[in-house]
Amino acid sequence: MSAAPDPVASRTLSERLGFRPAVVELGHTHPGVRRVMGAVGGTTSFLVTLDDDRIEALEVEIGLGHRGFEKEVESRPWASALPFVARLGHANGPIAQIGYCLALERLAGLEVAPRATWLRTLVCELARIADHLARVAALAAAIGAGAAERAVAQGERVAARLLGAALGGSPLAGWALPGGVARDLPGDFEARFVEAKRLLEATLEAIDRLLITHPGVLLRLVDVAPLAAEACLALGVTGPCLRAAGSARDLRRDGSLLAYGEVDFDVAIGSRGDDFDRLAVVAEEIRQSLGIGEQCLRRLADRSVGSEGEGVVTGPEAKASPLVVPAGEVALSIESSTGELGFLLVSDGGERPRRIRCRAPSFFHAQALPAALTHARLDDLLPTAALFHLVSGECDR
Amino acid sequence: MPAQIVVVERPRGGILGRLRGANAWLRAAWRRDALVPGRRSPARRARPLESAPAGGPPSASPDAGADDPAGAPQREPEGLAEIFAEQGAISARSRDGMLRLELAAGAAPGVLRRLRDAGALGFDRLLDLTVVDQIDRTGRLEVVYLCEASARGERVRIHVPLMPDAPEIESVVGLWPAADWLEREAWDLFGIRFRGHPGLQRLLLPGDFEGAPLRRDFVAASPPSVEIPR
Repeated sequence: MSAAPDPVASRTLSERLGFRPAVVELGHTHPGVRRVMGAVGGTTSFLVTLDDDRIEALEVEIGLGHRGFEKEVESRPWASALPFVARLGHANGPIAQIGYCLALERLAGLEVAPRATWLRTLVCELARIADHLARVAALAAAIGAGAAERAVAQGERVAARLLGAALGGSPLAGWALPGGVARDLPGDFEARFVEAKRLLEATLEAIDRLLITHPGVLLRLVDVAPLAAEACLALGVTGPCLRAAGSARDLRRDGSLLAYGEVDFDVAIGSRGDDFDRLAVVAEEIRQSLGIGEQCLRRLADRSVGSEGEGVVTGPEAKASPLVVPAGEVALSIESSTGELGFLLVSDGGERPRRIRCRAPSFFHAQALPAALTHARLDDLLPTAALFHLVSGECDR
Repeated sequence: MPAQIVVVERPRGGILGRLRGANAWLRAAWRRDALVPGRRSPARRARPLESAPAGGPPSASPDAGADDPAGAPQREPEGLAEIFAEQGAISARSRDGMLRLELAAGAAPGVLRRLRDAGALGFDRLLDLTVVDQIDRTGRLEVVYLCEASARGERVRIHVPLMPDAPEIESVVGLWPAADWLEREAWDLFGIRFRGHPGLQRLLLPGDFEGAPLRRDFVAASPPSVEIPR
């Protein structure tokens, strides 16, 4: 006869202390959640079941920001989806718009001037830098690293201003258009890029000194919430969180979109897939993106990819009639700063879409969060959520 | 030029994980490093994969090979054709060069399982699962699976038409865990029931919502009042 389980040892510490299991709701209005997730426009709520300070079960609740954008756009012309698409992300709205335009161009058979492709590549990288910095700032806020938060938030402002300068307006305004872009770079952009790069390099040094090598911060990050590459792939996790687990999957390298085949950059990967690796991969990606941006600018400046104004599609003929898209289907994915952002477009051959489906990386990250955080500590919830970058525009659509 | 893969550097020692909480040790180690000017910044730079120590991280990167196919390869993977022919599936390339299959609802679970388990051909990742309402054209709701074979980068799109009244299909959560929320979303917005799903509840909409709002016959509460100019 096997020994009966010890009735004392099989109970959790809380049970032995006589406590009932604590269920804590960390809603999106909770001050901590709002400070961390609100920074990237998150309205995610967490329902946590605790055993002492360990997370026994975690439920991620999404949907509060559901706008029904996929429904809205079915009654509008194809290009009218762009303002909705821009609001999918935080600072990476332009990447989403570019991805949507690429899919639409493939479906409609539109040609794009090489210069527009290089401009789009540049804007993707600027948006990636701004979005990654927002993620790091949210992380710094979550672990209470005040000095780091201040430095990174400053870098984020610099990156957002640079992105705004490249777009000639807000990231939410329409810059990428089917067939090209709305405007070329302003004349003083190169000088502004050089100035911003200098500041962003200082920001990277601050991330290095105040987060990546800071002993107090390491205690909060190393071996926290690891998620192995196999688990990431099974749960649909993509982007820096997947690369942190050691998979070199990056659609900029693997795919054939935009001008990434002609620029020189490294794909940063981690080894354990814990919070430390996620941060280190994001920091290295910011550095790589600065390099890609510089190469794009060089190519745009020497006019080897077309002279100024090529690829700009805002003439009166472009506005004359709505785009008519032949019947068909296209599924296309782009590497956004969060992960693989995909669009499935189905056309009946008319002016309006039959179906626009957006595969949002944050949605899968929200789904995978419990797998990473079960048995982690409650204080690890917000830093991990910040690094997984749950953007409500994407999760909820 | 192909992009190089670099591994970001972790805190040295490797035992740091086990010493989580040993603040004093960490502080000392950090000071040794940090107080020597110029020593830290090169150490923190990511290093190329080639110089990574043996037994290091890249073991977990099955798709890191240099022979990774870029873009959508046009060739038909061997072995897949047989699977499809047996099941009477209609396959074609769509405009994006992606393999497209159409399957009957009854055959779908078997084919999807075989696709996932087809050895080296295996479509081990479910990238997306969604629904396209074709009721006014073909009288069907189409469930669309977007699968990827991560080793080759090949993608396949599988369309399964369902009858629109009480549409039902086998859940694929057991094949691809990523399908959990995707199927809940399809239930939420299109009203498709996935047999065998562990918790088929509304995901984006409140629990007391009535109707399947992404079906085309569902009229949104207020029609768009402003045409957004192109």
